[in-house]
Amino acid sequence: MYELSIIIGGPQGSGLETSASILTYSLARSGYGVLSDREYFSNIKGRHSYVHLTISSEKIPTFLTYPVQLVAGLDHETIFTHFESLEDGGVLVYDLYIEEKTLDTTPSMEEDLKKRLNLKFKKFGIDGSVKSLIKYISDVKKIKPIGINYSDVINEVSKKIALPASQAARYTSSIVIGAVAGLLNINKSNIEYSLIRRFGDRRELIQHNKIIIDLVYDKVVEEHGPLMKLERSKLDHRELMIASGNDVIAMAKIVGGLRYQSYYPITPAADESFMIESYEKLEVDGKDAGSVVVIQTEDEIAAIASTIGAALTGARASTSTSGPGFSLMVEGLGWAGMNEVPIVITYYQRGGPSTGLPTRGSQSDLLFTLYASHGEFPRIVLASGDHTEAFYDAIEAFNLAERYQTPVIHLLDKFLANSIKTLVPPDLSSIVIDRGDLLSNVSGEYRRFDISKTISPRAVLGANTIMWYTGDEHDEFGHIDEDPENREQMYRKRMEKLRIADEEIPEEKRMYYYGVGDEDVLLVGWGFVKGVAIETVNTLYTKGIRAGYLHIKMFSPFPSKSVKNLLNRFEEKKIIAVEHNYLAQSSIAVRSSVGVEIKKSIVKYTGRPIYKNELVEAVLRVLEGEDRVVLRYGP
Amino acid sequence: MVRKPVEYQSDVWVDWCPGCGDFGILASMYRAFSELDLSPEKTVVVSGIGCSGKTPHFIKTNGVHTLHGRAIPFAMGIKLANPELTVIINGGDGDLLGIGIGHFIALGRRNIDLTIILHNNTVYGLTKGQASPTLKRGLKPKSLPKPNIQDAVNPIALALSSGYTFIARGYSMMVDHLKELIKKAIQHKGAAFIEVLQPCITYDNIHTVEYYKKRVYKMEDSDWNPIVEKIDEREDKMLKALAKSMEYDEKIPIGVFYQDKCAVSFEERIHERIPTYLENPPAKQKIEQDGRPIIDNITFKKIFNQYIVEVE
Amino acid sequence: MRNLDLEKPINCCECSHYSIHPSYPYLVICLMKDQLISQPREGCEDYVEKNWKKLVEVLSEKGFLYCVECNKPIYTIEELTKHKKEFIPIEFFHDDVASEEALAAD
Ligand SMILES: Cc1ncc(C[n+]2csc(CCOP(=O)(O)OP(=O)(O)O)c2C)c(N)n1
Ligand SMILES: [Mg+2]
Ligand SMILES: [Zn+2]
Repeated sequence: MYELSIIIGGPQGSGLETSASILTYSLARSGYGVLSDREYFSNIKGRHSYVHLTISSEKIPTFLTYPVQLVAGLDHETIFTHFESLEDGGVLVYDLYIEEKTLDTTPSMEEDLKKRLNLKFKKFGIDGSVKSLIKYISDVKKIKPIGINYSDVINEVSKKIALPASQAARYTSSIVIGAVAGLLNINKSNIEYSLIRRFGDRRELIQHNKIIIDLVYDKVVEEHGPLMKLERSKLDHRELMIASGNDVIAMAKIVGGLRYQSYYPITPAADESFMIESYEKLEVDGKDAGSVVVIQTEDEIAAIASTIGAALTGARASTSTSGPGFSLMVEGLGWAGMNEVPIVITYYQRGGPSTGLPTRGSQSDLLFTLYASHGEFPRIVLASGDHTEAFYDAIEAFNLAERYQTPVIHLLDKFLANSIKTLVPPDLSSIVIDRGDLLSNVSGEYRRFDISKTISPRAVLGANTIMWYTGDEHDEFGHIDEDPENREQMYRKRMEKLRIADEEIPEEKRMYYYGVGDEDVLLVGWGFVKGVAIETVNTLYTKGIRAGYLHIKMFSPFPSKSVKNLLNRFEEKKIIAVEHNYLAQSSIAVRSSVGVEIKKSIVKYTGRPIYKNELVEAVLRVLEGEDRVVLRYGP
Repeated sequence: MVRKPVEYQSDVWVDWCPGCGDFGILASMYRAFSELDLSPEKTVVVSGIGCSGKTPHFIKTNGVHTLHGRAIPFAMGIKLANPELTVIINGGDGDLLGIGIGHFIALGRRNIDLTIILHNNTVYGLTKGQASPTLKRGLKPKSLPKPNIQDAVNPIALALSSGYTFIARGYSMMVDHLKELIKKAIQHKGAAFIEVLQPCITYDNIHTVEYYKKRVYKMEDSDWNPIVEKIDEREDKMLKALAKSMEYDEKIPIGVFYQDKCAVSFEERIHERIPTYLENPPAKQKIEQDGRPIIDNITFKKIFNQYIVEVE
Repeated sequence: MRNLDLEKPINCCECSHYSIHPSYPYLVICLMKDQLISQPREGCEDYVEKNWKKLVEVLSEKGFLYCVECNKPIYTIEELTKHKKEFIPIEFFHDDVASEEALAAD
């Protein structure tokens, strides 16, 4: 096989994360490209979570899709939840012990799903036990079940390593690693490598896990052979980086010169700050390479306020949050706009409104970020489509903030934040650090808001001068001033910065077009849609449908000319917005910026990502005449 | 040559009501700044919103007039990014103890080297005299349609229980006394809080100059030693200060309630984790070399090696 | 310097019973008589010469005075000397209805 989709699932907190990580490292070590999405409940322990991976021997995958070829579960809820996602002829790895379980003995499952499943089981004519279901799917879908008695494995190993079974039980999730690795025929030494990478000098953990993995690996291969053997990888990277969206942003901010980060814990943003904190002291070969102060504040209001404070002293400063947090930051955002303070807000969207779907993805805050806070002021809103883009954008966000002396909102989403990807390590040789008109020394009387320049030279608190700031309208010195003429000038000075940014930032950096030029169908998207949209247009192309993808990256200032030119090349009924929200928010932004109405849309707001299979099908439906397709796939 | 108090006066016309206690606070700050000879470039006065919030505009040092209730976190960012700066916060009672009370408590927990000057006028001055969190229940200054139905917070007790390591009360009409408190607070290494009784001439007809004249007395006139020199004195001195903070009706004590000289400041705590922090804090670090990041491809892989896999 | 409509009541102005209304600083009040003063009174029986020493004392205690004619605070003796001829109240009195006329801000 060249490409493979698999799901591994189990109760939250049962070792799934570690297993997925070890598998990913093993696959990367073997040279495969991996993209894995994490789907989990807003819960600490016990509810069902799963990792959905795309693995490729030909490229670094950019999308997720269904059906999958393999489902490996720690528990019965995984089987109930995902059996329908299996391709006909696919493989199911499960624990023999749970064969008698039914929906009634699955209390962690939500009632809605139980109801739907009960109806199905009735239709299938089965009694609803795992056993009856497995028999049914083996008969009807030709699924190959691989039952392993997990308890037997643990007991066996517990004897072997002389560890009480109760303690050995915590290695249960490694059974899944062993089974999957055996089926995929991953080199055993690469698994060991991953265990070492994961557990470092905790020798015991490495050894115990290895014993279990090897045991299951051999058993599975012996009984079934490497059923889903992956072809040797054709990727020729000597190194691969494995990182989540949160990780990538953290690394980029550090490279970009972040020196102060504040945050209040929120999913799916907090991991970024955690990671930065673990790198607060930067050292290379024992030499100091700088440091970052990371502060967990009492709330998001304090987070943005202290970020602004730090930025006023000249430190590159940022805060990272999600919807509920940004809602609290809005007043501070306006202050930064009014006072021309370069700050970066890293904004990971999740399902709203309110607490919404805290651990699920969404792209429903675009319009909010474009208009948040009262009054008018320039802001830059930048949205990244994938891990690599996010890395470079996170650095550029600081450059833009300092160059235009205004807040930058870097929009991301939970899909990106929590999906782990193999990546080509970034190339830093072309990265620029642009601090804008930053004064290191001031001579004479200093006017922070010098009106003779639209972007006034910026001295910082602590420099050899003094300055004032106020959220009230102010004069050139930063003192309160309500004079109508001053008001008009200062207002215009601020707003003009956006026009300058629009002139200076090349539009080809603000939007990308994926296509060869002869397309007549256009998908329009942004953010995490990018990967699946590009894959979809490629697939459509092979089906004779010439589709291209317009990826919008900057929403303020909007790349109006390029987007308009591009849209004008397509027939109105063949332009389709693709987004993870209800309103197709980017089409609202497009309409307000370029006056073109995008009438067709494919949207998804279940909190799960758009999968390639459903997007391909939805585009076909739109081309057949439907105006709007709502996607729902994914448990 | 030390700077004179007048050298700290800005050119901005002070638009407080004539006779307002805020003038006394401002005068004390000028004097304290002068006696400490604070460098205007290295001093930042941060404020919230309200009559008190305008203070920075009247002072010729750096001034940051922020959002209602948020002066503390703005100041925190400034101070932590550049600990070399002297950062002083001016806020109203509504500002610091109403909308911003969460930040007030959080600062005590952190013990950052900041000075807070609370303008306690028992009302929301700039929004027309509504009851502030320091107005006692049952009182009805002229500006209120009905007597206040909410209980008052005790700023000194709150500061004590939040962890402030310098806590004092001054009176805006006793300039030299207040000046001394401000000097001590600024010199204290850690979170310092001064509650200043500030008569509001327009809205508060209860807490007038007359009112305070009758009640205010200086703790230091009797034998009162609020300073913790050794850790084992902490509990005793804090309890005494707490008891003292309850005295507020017939007689109102002013002076230092509590000072803990043994506490470790937040900056020192960061310094313990990041040894280069104090000499090379965020604001002073070089982050680029000829427009390029200081981290290059090789250092990147060294720093983030945990995330990089060599393909077999 | 603000031009008061009234001709300056030179001696009243130097009388320590003088005050100016906080909300209407163009109204001059004799605290002793509890009367508004529109004309300077020659040879007033209540006249007590404004005590320069008292002003200095108040200034050193409170740290500030306020020159109602210039609408400016005074923080130092040097500044006070510059306003010597102008009206500087020793004390501002509280006006119970002042708040009704005040506007809200911020
Ligand atoms: C978020 C927000 N809410 C309300 C206001 C309106 N507001 C301005 S000043 C003020 C109260 C000021 O009272 P205080 O903090 O006691 O300061 P004072 O004027 O008495 O010095 C309020 C509520 C505001 N500016 N911002
Ligand atoms: Mg107040
Ligand atoms: Zn005068």
